[in-house]
Amino acid sequence: MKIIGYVCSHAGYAAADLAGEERLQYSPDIILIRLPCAGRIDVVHLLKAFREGADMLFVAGCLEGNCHHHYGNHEARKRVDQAKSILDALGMDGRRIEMFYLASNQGWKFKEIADEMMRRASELGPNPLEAKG
Amino acid sequence: MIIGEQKPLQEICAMLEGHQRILVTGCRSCVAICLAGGEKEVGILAESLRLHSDLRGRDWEVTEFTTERQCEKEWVRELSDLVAKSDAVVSIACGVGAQTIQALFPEVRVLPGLNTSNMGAPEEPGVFMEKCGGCGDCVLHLTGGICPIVRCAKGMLNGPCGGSQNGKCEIGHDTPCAWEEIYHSLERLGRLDLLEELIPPKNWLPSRSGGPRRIVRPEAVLTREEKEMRG
Amino acid sequence: MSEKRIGVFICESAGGSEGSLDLRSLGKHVSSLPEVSFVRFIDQVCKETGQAQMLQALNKDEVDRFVVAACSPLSKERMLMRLAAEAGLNPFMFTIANVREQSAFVHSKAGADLKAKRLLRMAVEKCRLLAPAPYDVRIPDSRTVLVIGDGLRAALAAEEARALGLEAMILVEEGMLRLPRFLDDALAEPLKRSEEGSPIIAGHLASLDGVPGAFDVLTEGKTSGTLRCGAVIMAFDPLPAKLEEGIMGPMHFEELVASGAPLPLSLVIVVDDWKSDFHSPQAMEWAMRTAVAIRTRSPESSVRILCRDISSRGELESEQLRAQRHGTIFVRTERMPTITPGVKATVRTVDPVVGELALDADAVILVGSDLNAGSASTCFVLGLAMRPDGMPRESKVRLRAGESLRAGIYVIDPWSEWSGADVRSDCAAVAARAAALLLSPGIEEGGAVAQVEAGKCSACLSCVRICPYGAPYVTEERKAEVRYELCQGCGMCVTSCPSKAIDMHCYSDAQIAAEGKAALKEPRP
Repeated sequence: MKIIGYVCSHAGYAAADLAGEERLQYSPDIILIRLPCAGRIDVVHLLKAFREGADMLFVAGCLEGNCHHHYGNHEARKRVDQAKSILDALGMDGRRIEMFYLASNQGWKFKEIADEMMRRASELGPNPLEAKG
Repeated sequence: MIIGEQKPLQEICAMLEGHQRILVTGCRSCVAICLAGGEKEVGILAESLRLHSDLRGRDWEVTEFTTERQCEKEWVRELSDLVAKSDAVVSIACGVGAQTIQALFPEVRVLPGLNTSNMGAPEEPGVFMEKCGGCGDCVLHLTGGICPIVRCAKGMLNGPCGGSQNGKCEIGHDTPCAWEEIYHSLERLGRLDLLEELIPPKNWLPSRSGGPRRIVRPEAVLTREEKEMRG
Repeated sequence: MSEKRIGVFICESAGGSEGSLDLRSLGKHVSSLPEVSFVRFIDQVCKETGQAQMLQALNKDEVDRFVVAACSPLSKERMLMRLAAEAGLNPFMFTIANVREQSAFVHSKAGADLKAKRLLRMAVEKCRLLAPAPYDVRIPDSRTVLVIGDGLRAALAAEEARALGLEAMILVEEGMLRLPRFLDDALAEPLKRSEEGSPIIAGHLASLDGVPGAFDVLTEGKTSGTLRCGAVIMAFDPLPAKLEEGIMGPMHFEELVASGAPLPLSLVIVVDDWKSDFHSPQAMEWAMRTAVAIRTRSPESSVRILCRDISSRGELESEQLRAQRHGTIFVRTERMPTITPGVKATVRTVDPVVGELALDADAVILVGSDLNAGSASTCFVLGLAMRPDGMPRESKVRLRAGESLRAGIYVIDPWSEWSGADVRSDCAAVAARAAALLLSPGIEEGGAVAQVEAGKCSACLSCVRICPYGAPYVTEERKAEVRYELCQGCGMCVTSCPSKAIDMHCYSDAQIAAEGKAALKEPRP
C-alpha cells in the first residue's frame, strides 16, 4: 500500500517523531510529507498524489482550537472535504482521504492514525488506477 | 462582478465524452475573485479530469491556461497554440469568455464549465450575493442605494409588499426585505421624502428584452480613416 | 551557468544506536540520482567533528545545496542553517531526510531500509527545487514601547517596561489616566514612578505602519503627530458594566462599605462570565475576597456567588477554599441570570442540577464589563480581533501569552486564560514580552515565507483576509505583496490565492508535488 500523510510541523510531524522515540511500530507503507501548517495543503496536491498512485492520503494538523497558526487546521479540513467530494464524484471513494487532529505529545495517536489508514486501505483495496495497470 | 459557479464534475465529464485533447481555461478577473474559475480552480478541474480519464481508460490529454481576461480578443488569442492542439475547450470563465473563445476559434468545440449566474459582491469571504439586476435604468438614487429589482423578490418599485416578517422577505432563507432596507437607508440619509415619490411603471426596454443590448461610446469608435490607417 | 549540484551527507548514527539501517546501500541508492555531486558519510552530524567534516566537503566541492540523511529536522534544522551559512550558502538551501525517528525506529529492518531510500529520494527531489530564501537578522530600531490604554494597566505596563530597560510612552485619549479609587498599597510606588517616567500623549491611534522594532505611528485627537516605537502594548482597563437601578457594581459596594453603612443581610454577587469565552480570575478574586470580608464582619449575612465557571486557578484556589469555609455558597449556572431589582431583589437563574432558582437578596452586585470604546477602536486600527467588551484577544498559541496575532503588538487581555489574580503581574509579563523583542540582538526574519508574483495577482484580497498575521497588503500599484518581516510561514495565503499568484519558499507547490511524486516511487530492490 502507498499511503502519504501530509503533516504539519507542530503537531503531526512532531507526534510522528515522538512515536519514533517511543519505538511505536507501524507500517512502512506510510510515508510523511512535512508542511509548515496543515493549512498549506492544496486540493491539487491531493488529486495529483492519487493520480500518481497513492492508495490513501491523510492530512494531520493540530487539535481543534490549538492550531499553532490559529486556524490552519480549519482550512485543511475544508480542503480535505473538497477533495473527498471530488473523489466521490469520480467514483473513487472519498474515504481514501482523511483529516486528523492531534497534538505534538501524542505519539500514540500518530500510531493510531497510521494503523487506521492501513485498516481502511485493506478495506477499500488499492487505488483503482493500479488495477488498470 | 460577475458571479458564477462551476458545473458539477459529472456534468462536465459527460460533455467531454468523445473528446480527447482537452484544454481547461479560466480567467484572472471576476471568476477568479468569486473562486470559481481562476488559475487555482483550473488546476483542480484539470487534475480531476485527468483522474476521471485514467479511471475510465479515456486517454485524455488535458492542458491548462488562465487568460488575463477572457472577454478580450487579444487576451484570448494567447490560447492559440494550445487550442491548435485541442479538440475541446472547457472554459470556466463566464459565459462571455466561453463565447469569445468560440468566436475566435470556430473549429474547436467550446464547452461551458461554469454556470454564469449574476452580478454581485462578496458579503464575507466565500459568500457572494446578487446585487444588481442589470436593468439598464438605475433607480438607486431613489432607493437609498439598494436595488429593488433583484434584492426585492418581487422586483417592486414602490414596496414594501407587506409580506415581510421581522425584516425578512416572505420567500424565507433569511433574505432581508429589500424595502425595509431601503426604508432604513433613506432614514439614515434623511431622505424619507423620496419614499413619497412614486416611481412610475418601469421602462423595461433597456433591460433584458429584444435581443443582445448594444452600447456605443462614439468617442472611442474608430472612424473609417482610423481603421484604414491601422490596417 | 552553474548547474545544480547537490551534496549528500549520511549520518552514521542515522540508524540509531541499534545501527539498524543499511547506510551503505542507502548511499549507493542516492548516488545514482541526477545532479548528486557526492555522498559522504559523517560520523555524527550533531558533533563538532561531524560538522567540520561537512564544512570541509561543502567548501571543497562546488555544491550549492545539500541533503542530510539523519534524524528529525525539528532538532537539526537550526544547526544546519548555521552550517549552511558558514559554508557561504543561503541558510535554507538544504533538506533533511528523517530516516531515524521516521524509519529506523518504527519499522522492521527490511521495511526501514526501503523507506529510508524513499525518504532520501524525496529529500533530494525537494532539494533540487530549492531557491535561496530571503533572510536577515534585523536589529530593532527603537527601544520605545508605546502603551495604549486608559487607566491602571497602562500605567503599570509602562512602568514594568521601563524597569526592564526600555523607554515607554503612554497614549491616552483624554491625556490623563483614570485610576481606580481603591488601590492596593503595593501599587502606589510603581504608579508614582510611572507618572514621573513615562510621558503621556493625549490622543488615539490613527494608524500603525512598519515592522516590529520599527513602527511608525500616527496619532490623532488632542495631539496629532507621528512617532516611532519598537513595540505596542494595548493596556486598556475593563469598564464596569452598566448598571440598572438597585444593582451595584464592585466600586459602589466598596464605597458603601467604606461609608460605614450596615451590611446587607443577603448578598448575591453575580460574576458575568457568560459572554463568549470569558474567564475572569480577577473578577472572581474580588467576589471571593468580598464574600470573606462580609461573612467575617457580619456572620449573619448570607453571601452567594453566581457564575458559569469558578475561575480559581493557582493561588486563587486557597481563596476559594477560604470563601467556602466562611460559608459562601457558589452557585454555578448555565446562563446569565435575570435580575429584578427592588427593596428585595430577585435573581432568577437555572442551576444545572437543581433546575430553576429564584434567589432573594437585599443587595445584588454585578461584576462584569461594558464596551470599552477606546479599546475597540484601537483594535480596529490595529486589525486585532476583539471580545464583545472591546478588549483585544490574545494569541491562544502555547507560550504566546501576551501576544496578539500581530508581531510586535502585545495585549493585556483581562479575560485571558492565562491572566493571574494580580493585575501587576499581568502587566509585568506582557512588558517582558515586549522587552524580549526589543532587547534581542536581532530579529530573525525570512526563510519559509510567502512571495507574490505581482503579474498574476487579481487583487481579490483573499490573501489579505486569510492571513492571521497581517503580512499581505495591497501596494499602491494595486497588487498584493507579502511583508516577509511579518510572515510566519503558515502557507494559508498560498493555498487561498485563486490566481496562484503566491508561492512559498521552502514549501513551494513544485517542491510539495516533487516530494509526493518521489514518495510514490518504489526504490529498486
